[in-house]
Amino acid sequence: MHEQGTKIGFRARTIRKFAAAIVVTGGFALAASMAQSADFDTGWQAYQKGDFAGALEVWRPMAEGGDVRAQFNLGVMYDEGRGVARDQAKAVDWWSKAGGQGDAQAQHNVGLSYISGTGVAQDYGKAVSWLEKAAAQGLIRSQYSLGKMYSSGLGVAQDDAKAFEWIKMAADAGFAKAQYNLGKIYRDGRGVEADDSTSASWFLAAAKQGYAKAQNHIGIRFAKGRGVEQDEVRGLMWLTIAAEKGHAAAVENRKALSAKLSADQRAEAERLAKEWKPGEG
Amino acid sequence: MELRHGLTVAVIAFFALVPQLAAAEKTDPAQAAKFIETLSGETLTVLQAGDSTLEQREAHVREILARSFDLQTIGRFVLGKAWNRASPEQRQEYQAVFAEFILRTYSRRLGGYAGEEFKIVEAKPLGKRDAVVITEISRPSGPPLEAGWRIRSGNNGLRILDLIVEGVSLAVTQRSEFQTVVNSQGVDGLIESLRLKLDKFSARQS
Repeated sequence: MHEQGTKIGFRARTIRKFAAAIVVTGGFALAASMAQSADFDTGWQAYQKGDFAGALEVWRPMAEGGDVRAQFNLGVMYDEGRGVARDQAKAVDWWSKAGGQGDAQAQHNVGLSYISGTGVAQDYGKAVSWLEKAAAQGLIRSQYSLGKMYSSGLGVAQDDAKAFEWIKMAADAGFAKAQYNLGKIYRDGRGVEADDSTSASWFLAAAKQGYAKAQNHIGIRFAKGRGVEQDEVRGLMWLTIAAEKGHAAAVENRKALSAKLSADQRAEAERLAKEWKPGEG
Repeated sequence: MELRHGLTVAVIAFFALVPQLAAAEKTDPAQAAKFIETLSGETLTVLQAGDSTLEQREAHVREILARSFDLQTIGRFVLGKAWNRASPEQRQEYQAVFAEFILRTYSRRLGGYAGEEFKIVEAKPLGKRDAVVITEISRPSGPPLEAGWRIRSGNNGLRILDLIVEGVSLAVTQRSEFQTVVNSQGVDGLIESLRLKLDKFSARQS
């Protein structure tokens, strides 16, 4: 019974695929693109319902016909194993197609696949060239990743100045991880002159966004008054927030700082930590 | 036979890695079954909320998983021997990124689940202190899927330690995948590769 059902389903899909191919190649460009847009949304609605097979049925012929969004999403479905068996090589294939047509997020995903060697053989040089395309289009995550490639000299000659430039771009755009890294760059003076106070202000920016590692760093800065005016209560507040997220070093640092403060100060820090909301500092 | 032996060895290794408390509490299978029943009820309510987006459902499932999985213990087990050689910083980084990786993977798997029948078949003791709750998930096509949930009672109440699907432990599977990466690229390489997986863009509407 099942066997038969599957076969019929397959035939129906093949016919639909064939029909889609005729529409795409038929020359009714406008009508086709309008139909495609409606189809894409049908696929999205199925995807939202968790009907991945339904989404695939709509998007696959579109992707084969060259629709960039469908190609990108099909890549994601193969990468995450939604509605299909997980197949990272196929994911990279679809992303490369979409990326080749200029899709920045697809370019980013291909770049990362080359770094980790998932679905393709690891190739840092190729990773950098895909990330460059996406970064040039203004994709913040790619700017950050490219900065990290320059910082560790993977696929490019190691270059602290270029690493600084890309990471700063992503940090200015508000990317927490880049802000945290920029804090470290200013602390260590890599590609830019070391500056404790600028370093602290970047740690603070990332901490405000809820980035636990940065919260631990800025907590210590406030405790010691390095790059910021000393404020042990505020320091304990940040360490408490990070510790409660499970950051192990912050747990230790919180203990050590607590031991130095009065009961009133501890209670105040505790209260501030409890009332803290992302975005606040 | 080979595989079975491999699994036994891995399960023993699991026990060796997890610190055994002097008065280790045994997990009551009936309580474990109740725990899974409550969790599945909560999860189904989320999944069947018709007006929410997939992303919202996944975020909600993720929050349920975060408080029901013992991610620290699982993370240590999955890293294997490399855990002992890792520096405190590496352990910290690894645990943070591993937790994120697991939560994202499972919330995505469950978030897209359309809410098929789910029933508890049985609950029994497993090893010295755990319990396993066997569940059956019926699917629109094909035979029902059997899944076993390994539960341990600890200081924070009951927590899931592993999921055994069709006889295969996901923790053991994950462990051998990680082993390959650690062997060629070290613990830092594994952390970096998990991070890269998390940095990819997911499906979008336009």
